[in-house]
Amino acid sequence: MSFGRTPSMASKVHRPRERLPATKHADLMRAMFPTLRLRRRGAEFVWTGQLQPTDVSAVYTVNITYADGSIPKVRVVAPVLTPRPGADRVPHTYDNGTRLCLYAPLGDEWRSTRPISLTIVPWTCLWLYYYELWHATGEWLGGGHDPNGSSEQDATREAGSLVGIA
Amino acid sequence: MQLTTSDSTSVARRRPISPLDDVLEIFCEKLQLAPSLHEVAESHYVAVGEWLGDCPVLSQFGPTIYPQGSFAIGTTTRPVTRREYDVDLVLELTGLRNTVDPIQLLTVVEGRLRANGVYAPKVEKKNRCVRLNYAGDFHLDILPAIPDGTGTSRVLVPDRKLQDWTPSNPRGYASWFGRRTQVLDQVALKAEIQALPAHEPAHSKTTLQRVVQLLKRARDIYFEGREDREPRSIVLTTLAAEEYQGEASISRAFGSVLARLTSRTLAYPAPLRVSNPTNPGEVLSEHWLQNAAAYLEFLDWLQWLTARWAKVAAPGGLSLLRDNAVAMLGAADVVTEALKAHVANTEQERRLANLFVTRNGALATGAGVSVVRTNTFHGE
Repeated sequence: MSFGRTPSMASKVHRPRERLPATKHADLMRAMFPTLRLRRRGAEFVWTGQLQPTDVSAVYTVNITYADGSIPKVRVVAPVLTPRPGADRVPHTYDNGTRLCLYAPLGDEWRSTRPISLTIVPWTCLWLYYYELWHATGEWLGGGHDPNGSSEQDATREAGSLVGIA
Repeated sequence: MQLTTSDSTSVARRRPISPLDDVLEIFCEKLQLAPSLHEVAESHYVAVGEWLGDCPVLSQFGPTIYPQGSFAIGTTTRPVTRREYDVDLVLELTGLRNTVDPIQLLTVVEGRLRANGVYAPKVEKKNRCVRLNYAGDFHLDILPAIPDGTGTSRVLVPDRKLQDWTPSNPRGYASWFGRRTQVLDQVALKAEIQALPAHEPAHSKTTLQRVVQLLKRARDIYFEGREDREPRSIVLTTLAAEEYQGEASISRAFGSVLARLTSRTLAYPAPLRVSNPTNPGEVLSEHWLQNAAAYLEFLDWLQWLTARWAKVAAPGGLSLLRDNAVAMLGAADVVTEALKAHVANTEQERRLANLFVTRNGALATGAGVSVVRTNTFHGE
């Protein structure tokens, strides 16, 4: 996977081997998604704001937390995520369906060298889109790791560097 | 990979992902006469035209056959309660004058069709036309017409009670409708150019054609079981074409046509008088003028549709969109298929690394503040 860059950001995302400090993530978030507001809780950075994947989608309030040396965690604050009638949980979540699973944790889709604004936020929008489609059709149409089997649903991930994580 | 920090620099290339427009588009495409059947119907009517043209009686009067109605203007919609599509044809006898009795002319046409072993079992005599039934697919309704003497495309056709001839202009109407599909509101165009569907199918229809198909479909759902009360397709088509402002997006065009239509009915206390714009003598809404109750039912339907549409277009999530679209258009399986076809479009863009997120956190193709990079949804 490669990351494009703009002249204005070049100095900030230029050295991909170096871990991006949370303050740099914050700079990029402010520049790219100004509606996501930052609060600091000690070492923890918390961005809160609204995302609406399409003009007919619901408006979701999401919470993204990150601290240096940790991984970004995304939760949907409102509306509360709910399983479909007949399903016991929301797919592609952790922590009893409150935290979103946006990427393969053992791969390099996300690393601390990569801006949250260029990875986690777009994936959150995409996740919300597929969440609504799951409610509408009964199928998770966004591909990804199938917790109930080994088959992969989606070829898109094959462009990623780590395929077939179980 | 290109990355932009500001949406405004690349707005011309950006198209929001629009599940609603895609669903409406794909729904209409699935419910219209399929291109293969369209070709079959066309070859049938050409053959019928040749058979009628070779008739010793009719051939003396310069017969020509051409389509009219939804088949001619590309707004076919599968009926709710039966399987056959209507294909309306005009048999114009250019050498006749209005001294001919329309019933006698219909009898000649019927007799000629019954003289052919292929057509004979398909023939059905109707009030003002002769029908050929192609079971399960469509029927061809052949309406005789004669020139009105003005030297234009205007004609005379048998009137409803078949006592006399009445003015019409199917060819003029089709050209007028074609021109209305091309109306482009420069303001709307500028604002919506990015909302054009990303995947334009080969047989794609114009926005106005889609709006008409949706109106007819919602009409069929609402009036199911009491079709005698429903507003005529030609009336809905004319009203939609008159009110269409050139929006590119189907959902915006549909919402705006509904709103303008409502204003028009409110501004006019009596039943609307809708005429063929290319032949004002042809009053299309005569059943409203004769039957005020039927007009009130149209108003009820318009109110029902406006309320349904508000729900469909509301930002309540794609599951509600699906449910509300089904309530308005029926065919739950087709709506779901359309939604999945929309997702397939999105997946295609995702694979091509052409799916982006905008500054406001919406999905778009073409441009945005960040591309949606490859990921693998994980989880327990």
